[in-house]
Amino acid sequence: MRRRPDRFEGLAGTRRSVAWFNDADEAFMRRLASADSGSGFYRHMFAEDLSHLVPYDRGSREGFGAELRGADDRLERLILDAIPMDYGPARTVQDAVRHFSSTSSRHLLSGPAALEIEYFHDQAGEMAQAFRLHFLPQGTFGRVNGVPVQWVPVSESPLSRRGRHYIRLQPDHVTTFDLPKDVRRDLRGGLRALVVADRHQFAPTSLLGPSGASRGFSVTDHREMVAAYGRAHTRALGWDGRGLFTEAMYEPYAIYRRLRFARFQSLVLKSIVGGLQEALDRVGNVLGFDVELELSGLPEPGDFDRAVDDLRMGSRSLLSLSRFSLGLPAQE
Amino acid sequence: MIASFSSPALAAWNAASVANRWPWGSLSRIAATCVRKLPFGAMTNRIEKRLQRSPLFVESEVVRFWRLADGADEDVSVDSDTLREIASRAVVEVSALASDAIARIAYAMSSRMQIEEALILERVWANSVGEISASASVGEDAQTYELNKLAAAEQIVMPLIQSWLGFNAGLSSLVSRDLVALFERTLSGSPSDVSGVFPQPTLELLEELAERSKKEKLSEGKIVTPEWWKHHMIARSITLHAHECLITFKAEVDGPLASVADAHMARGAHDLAAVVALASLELHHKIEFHLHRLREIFRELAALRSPGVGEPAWPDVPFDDSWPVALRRQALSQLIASLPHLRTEAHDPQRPDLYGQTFVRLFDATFDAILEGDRVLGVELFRAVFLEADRMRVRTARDLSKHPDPMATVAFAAEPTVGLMELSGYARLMQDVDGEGMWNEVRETWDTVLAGDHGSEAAATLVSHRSMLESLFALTPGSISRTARLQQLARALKARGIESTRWDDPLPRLTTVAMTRPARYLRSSTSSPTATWVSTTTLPISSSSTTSLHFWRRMSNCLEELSRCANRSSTLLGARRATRHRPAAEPSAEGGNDETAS
Repeated sequence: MRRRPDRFEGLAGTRRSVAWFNDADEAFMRRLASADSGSGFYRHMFAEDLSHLVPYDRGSREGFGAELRGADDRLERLILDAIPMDYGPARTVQDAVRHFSSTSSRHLLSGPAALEIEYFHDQAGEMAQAFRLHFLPQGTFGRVNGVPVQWVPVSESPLSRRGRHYIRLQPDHVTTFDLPKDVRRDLRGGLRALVVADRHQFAPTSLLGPSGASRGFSVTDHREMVAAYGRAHTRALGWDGRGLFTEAMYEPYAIYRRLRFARFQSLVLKSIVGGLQEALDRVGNVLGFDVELELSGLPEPGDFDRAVDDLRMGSRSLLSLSRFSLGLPAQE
Repeated sequence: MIASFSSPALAAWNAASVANRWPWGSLSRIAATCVRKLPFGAMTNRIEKRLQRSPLFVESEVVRFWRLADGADEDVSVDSDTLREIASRAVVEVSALASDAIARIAYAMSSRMQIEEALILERVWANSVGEISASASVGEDAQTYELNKLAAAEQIVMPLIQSWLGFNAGLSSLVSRDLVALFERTLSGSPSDVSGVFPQPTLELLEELAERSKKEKLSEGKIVTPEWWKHHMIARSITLHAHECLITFKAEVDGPLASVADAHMARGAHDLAAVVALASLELHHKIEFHLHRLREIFRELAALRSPGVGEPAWPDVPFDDSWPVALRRQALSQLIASLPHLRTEAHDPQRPDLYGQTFVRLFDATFDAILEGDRVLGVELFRAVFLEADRMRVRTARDLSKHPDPMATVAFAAEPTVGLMELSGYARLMQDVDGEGMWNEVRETWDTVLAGDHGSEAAATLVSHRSMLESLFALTPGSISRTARLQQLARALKARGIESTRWDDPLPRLTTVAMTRPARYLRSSTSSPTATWVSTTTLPISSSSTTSLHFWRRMSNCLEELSRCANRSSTLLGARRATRHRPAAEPSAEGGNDETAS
């Protein structure tokens, strides 16, 4: 198999942020861990579920449409190479959107997502020939006197403020995006509830003790209690705890929750696509292009509201609504 | 007036004709000789627990009826199999359960669709009374004991009848209400109205729905599960439970009950077999009668089914119309087998007239089989009735021999044989209407008799009886029954698309003449204006012209055939012995007048 030539080989980048931290001090790692909203039994599952913002379809189809309007093949390739991917450059725009949105959703859990734009210059150093987008690790983005910075371990930078060391970033090379205020509020409330639920994860083990019996404690009741708590406090998100919150409920309710969660995901996706578009706009000003990212074939939040109405009225079958809530195509 | 006649035999005949009701007292008399000692105890306690399991379930009459055990088993839950096992070992205090108490309980439980529990009790009861009816007569009052054995035999079936009636009444009552409003009222927290209305599984579902609705309200601030889904699930629960009840009931009827009469016959107790078979016929009739309504109820419940749930299968009545028909055939076969063993020289007013009652039941069943086109059963029944008709005539004449009005004696004694002629006429008519039937077998039966050693006397007797009844201007039980049969015939013809709208339509006249006064009809059939009119006039029938023409063509054929029969009878009478060995199937071409000959 022939290796694709690396677009960035031999070019000089402008990146200042650090992706990996060697020799990190304990205080820094503690702060980093506290910013991680995806740890814990329920939070981990939630983060995973939330990250599936666009569908995977069967076979070679993508399940939705994505287009970089205004970009020719060369420019589209340039952009696809710039979008952060874990396993090499994206094959298609859909692939790039799927991966970018998935990564973004995890970053958005604890606050705004920050991207550093890295421009690549040739040896002459006059004109940027390529670019790349880099996510700043969760909990490392901040501002010092209005200047965007990345919080780093002591070993990475001598600059510090109130005992925290940082690297200065170029303001015009950083872009951030966040969820709308009401969505952020709902997410924050839901995550707080999941933290509580996580703490109860091992309660039965502790309460039953080494002898395996603790008077007055019922595992079933405890599980239902956690589920009821989870249901009530993640109402706005609609997440069903992968069925753990709805296992004692009827099918229509479970479908309702899934529809609500899918609606929440569509709101998150809107923010992410907006953030990516903003980054492309900023790069376009520097490199001289103007593209618009357009997605198609994905339901809007209003579509999920209508599905909930259909559920209430009985105008669509449960099977159809269930498939819709899971992002599956309607049964032929 | 003949209608005012009163005698024990007449009363027995009338009673047998009208309904299957025993003139005896209750089972309480059995108590003196057949007392069991212990109450149901543990079993009853467990049944109470089942009934009271739901907080929506109020205490019922059933609970009050049963005596509690000593409380040792209060906290022990029990499944159905264990309950049956306990039931099989339970000892019954017959005196406490005497009369129709069990039947009433079965009705009450079944009306709440507690069929399973009702049948468990019924099984215990059946075992106990079965022992009584199978026991040998002891003591000085053996005759009373024998009577009570008959009553006990009947009591095996009565709880099943009441279970069926109760089940249908309960389900009808439930469906007759505004179900959607009832569901919503129940779910909104007014359970007092529904206690005893819904079956137990539905009550449990309602409780669960109410509980989960509360959870939804706590979680979402509103109830999310839509009403249409709840209605679907509740209706499905009721339907499914009704379906399971019917399966349980059918298994009980097909299993233990079906073998009771056969067991009695096997040990020569044909009177007990007849009692069980007669009571079973009543049960089968009720099953058949309610089946149509039952299907309607299932359809009404299915109206609450929502396609949105995506449930491909929906429970239905688990048997079709052939089930009660098969049951009826079985009971009738048992009666046919028992009938010769039930013969009595004279009616004993101290005992039920099982012979007379069985004869009347078989006679009516023959008529039904003819109208329904059930040739095999019809022939079997006709031959059974045919063989007993003359004995029945002789016995009735003997029973009424001391009656002050000799005409009454003759009139009532003639009913069985005249009835045979009537059945034969119906067989001929229905064969022409349907294109197939049992006329050939009926004719062969008659031919055998008429061609026998006493054929001419038999023919003379038949004609004289017919003439006597035709000339009688009185309302007799027989004439009332004949009118009822004519009405049934009209309905049967209507069901086949033969219906008249004109007041002067000759169809009723012709059928009336042919069936009730065959002699008069036969006399005029060859040359009367009516017969000519039938063959030449435009037909005033309102149904489809093809059907009408078809029927009238067959009717004309029928009249001709009856005419030929009359001629043959006349020839037989005229030629006496000379015609004895003449082939019976060859109709005579000559005309004749049977009344004149007689």
